[in-house]
Amino acid sequence: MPKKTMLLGAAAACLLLAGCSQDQHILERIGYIRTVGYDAAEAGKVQITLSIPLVVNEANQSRSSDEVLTGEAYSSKEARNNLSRRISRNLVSGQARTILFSDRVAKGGLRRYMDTLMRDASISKRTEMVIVEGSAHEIISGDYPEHPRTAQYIDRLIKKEFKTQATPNIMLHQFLRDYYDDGKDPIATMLRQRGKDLEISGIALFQEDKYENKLEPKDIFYFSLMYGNLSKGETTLVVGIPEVESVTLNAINSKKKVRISRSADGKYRADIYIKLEGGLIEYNGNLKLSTSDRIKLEETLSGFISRQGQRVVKQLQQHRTDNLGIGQYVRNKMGYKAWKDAHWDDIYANMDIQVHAKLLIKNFGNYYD
Amino acid sequence: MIPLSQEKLRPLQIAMLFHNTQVGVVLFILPRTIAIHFGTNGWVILPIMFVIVTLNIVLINSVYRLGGGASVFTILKSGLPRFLLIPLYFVIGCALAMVGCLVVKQYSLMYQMLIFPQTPDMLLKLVIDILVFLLVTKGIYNMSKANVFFLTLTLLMIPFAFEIFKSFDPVRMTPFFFQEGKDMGRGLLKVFSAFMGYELAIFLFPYAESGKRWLKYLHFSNAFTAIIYLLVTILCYGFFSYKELTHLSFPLLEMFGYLHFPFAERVQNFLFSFFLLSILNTSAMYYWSSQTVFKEILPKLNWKWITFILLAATFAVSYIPKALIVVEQWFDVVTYFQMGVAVLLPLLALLALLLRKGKKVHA
Repeated sequence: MPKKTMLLGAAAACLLLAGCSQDQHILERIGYIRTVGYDAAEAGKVQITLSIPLVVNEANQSRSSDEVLTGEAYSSKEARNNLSRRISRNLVSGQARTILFSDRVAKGGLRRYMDTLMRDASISKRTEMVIVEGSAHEIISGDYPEHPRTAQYIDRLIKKEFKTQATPNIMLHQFLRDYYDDGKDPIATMLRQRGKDLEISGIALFQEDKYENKLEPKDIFYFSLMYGNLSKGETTLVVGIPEVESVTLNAINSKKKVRISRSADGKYRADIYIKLEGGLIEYNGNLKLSTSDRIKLEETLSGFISRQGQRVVKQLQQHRTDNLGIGQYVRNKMGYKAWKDAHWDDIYANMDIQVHAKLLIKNFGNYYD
Repeated sequence: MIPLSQEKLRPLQIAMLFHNTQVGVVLFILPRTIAIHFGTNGWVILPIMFVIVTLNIVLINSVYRLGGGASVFTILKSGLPRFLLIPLYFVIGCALAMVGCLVVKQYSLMYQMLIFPQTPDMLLKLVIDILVFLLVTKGIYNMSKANVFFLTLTLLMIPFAFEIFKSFDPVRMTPFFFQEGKDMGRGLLKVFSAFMGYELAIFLFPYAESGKRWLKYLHFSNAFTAIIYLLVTILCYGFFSYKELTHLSFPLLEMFGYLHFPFAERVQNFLFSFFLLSILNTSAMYYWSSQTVFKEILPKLNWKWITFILLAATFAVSYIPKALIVVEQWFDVVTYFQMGVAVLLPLLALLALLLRKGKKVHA
């Protein structure tokens, strides 16, 4: 036999033998954890809830549901190992889509849970980080008869919100990245049960790894404008004056810029400039939009957005959470030593931060007035 | 058709060969190494290292120029006694073979961690070693041709940078340079070792196209390596925050992991498998060079047998380092030998040329 054939045969044999290894994955025998929930428990333990989709094929009929397992342990991997004794399939984390932390757990700090989320190579950094108002266990084990299966419902709801930019896109990657940045505090999406539905209930504002305060849903839009650049989305602004009672903008496009300046007495000041444009799809007010009133409307709304933004910033400052990353910009203006010696928390809390929004309405829809 | 013994390597093929030898698994860990040792904006070390390596290549090229294109072994033989050269060859040969072996070992351990956690890493290594053997025994000319294909496949990954660039923010890079870095000396060594691979050019003299044109292509290959390293490292500095980067074992894998396409998610394992081709080439180049060195000690033994013995011996040695971190430590040691080949061997060759000239003058 020629040498080449022999060698190729040997290589093929190795590949075949590799199939005998323990690393075979048979879909039906694996329990892909889809959702993980962390709740506070007694004595330093944590209550872990896992949701694993189950598809049963019997006599041409397939039935799908979620298997939900709960147990208490000191760490999430310990819980996984304990819980695997109750399930007929092999539990793996490779398809985890959503991680839910109860607000109580988050208040105590997430540092101890982050190790395995970073270390375990099978956990995707695209897993959604969610803080739950109330109990994560209740949300995961809850039944929402008018919606898709629970785990899927949670995942799709959050993904859709990210996609439409209704709330900032916060996955494990962004959370960890901002946690490790000394000039920024992380945020996470908040979720709660509301009757027979689930609902995005705001943004969890962190100080380092600790959940500090909640941003209400009505403020998410103003926060998002200052947090990053938007390229889609829709929002309704309720101004409540005769000229503009309310307007709804769609196809929003925005860009933010942060400028840091220093006054003569050495105090830092930040100016957040927001440029945004969008189309009008609903308007309640007494202006004629096809006339020069258009400019008046733009100015009114620009001022309104600036004031709302200002209010959100004040709220962040009061709780000393720098979730917009103003610290990054100040740091980049300072020398290394000055930044390390500075008490950024104090500087931030008392800093003068101004928001300047400029709105351009690109079209006024199909109605001509 | 030109007989194989007369075929010569084309300059561009040489450039591709050396670029692919330089780049390998190190690409996955380099940004972290730089972040740890050089701190904020540590990527600035890359252009500096590029200049140092360029000077080193100039040194190797001068051996080619002054030696009139003769093989480095012929040059050494002409000026230095054989009893001095044999132990030297032995050490160099062993070190080069160990590099070829460790590259594969490191890759198999990473592969094991990511994809086949329960499969013995030595089994994975065995499979790759068989491929390396098949590649080396095809000879350097065919290796360089195969490498064109290998490199093209790995270069296809560059467009992913655009996707990652969307999550890039220069604000995270900070305006500080080299702050919070620890142990820069060790870092320099590690970054230098990332550029290693070009030193094998000294064994290639008799195989290259005659003329000095190909020497320029060594610089081209090195510049391209520096650009790839810069691209990946700068991306990492703006994609992750600085402190986070120092905690990531494999930053490039993390970046790949963040990519997602409408048809596939978690593509990092797939992309990591692509790097097998680069690893194959790197390892094959080192074994091939080691084999040419041992051929000088044992001129009567068939070179394919030498390659086989080298692979078998190093395979046995690679049972010793069992953990990834230990392999990294072994690499640190082997780097000293690589540096020896990169700097001392050309100097020794120049000395031999000088001595030969002296002999001629006295005769």
